[in-house]
Amino acid sequence: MDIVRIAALGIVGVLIAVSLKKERAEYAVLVAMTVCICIFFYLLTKVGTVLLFVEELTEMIPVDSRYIGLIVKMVGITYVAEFATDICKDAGYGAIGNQIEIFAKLSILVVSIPVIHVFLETMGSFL
Amino acid sequence: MSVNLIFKIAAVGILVTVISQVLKHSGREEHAFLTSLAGLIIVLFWIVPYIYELFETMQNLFAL
Repeated sequence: MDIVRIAALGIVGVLIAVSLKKERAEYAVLVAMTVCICIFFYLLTKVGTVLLFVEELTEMIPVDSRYIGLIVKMVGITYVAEFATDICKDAGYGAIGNQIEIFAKLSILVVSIPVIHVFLETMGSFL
Repeated sequence: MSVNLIFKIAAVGILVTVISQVLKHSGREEHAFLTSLAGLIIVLFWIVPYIYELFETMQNLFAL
């Protein structure tokens, strides 16, 4: 049911953006960005429920909750970077999109450094 | 919230296009540019709070 609304919203947005593209390119980009934002709002409600499930899962499995938090942070970084990159690429500016993507990858790497650190220590203790 | 915003932006876009065409034909080039700029600023005023709200919820949700 939801997916029908999302698809309709997307198609209407695309049709409006295409009709505006010829005379006023900037409005086409603005309409496309608005549609992306609306769909992202719906998406956030779904992600919220998934995160609740993940939290329940962490209680059951005796994994250190810090790692789960890191994973969730990485997913968040990816979502935001993907959103921004696609909008930039739609507007025709691939270079800016790639810069955002590279920044996102680096920030994910930075976030995962402690995990790698712990992993290397445990490996070292085995040998 | 979302759907009529899209239609509002489309309406502003079409309106600005028409006004700038009329102004161009009546010989006032700079007015045409000013109206398109004004339209753009109005639309930005509508969109920016949504972008801010979106990134705010993202931060809270993912504890970024």
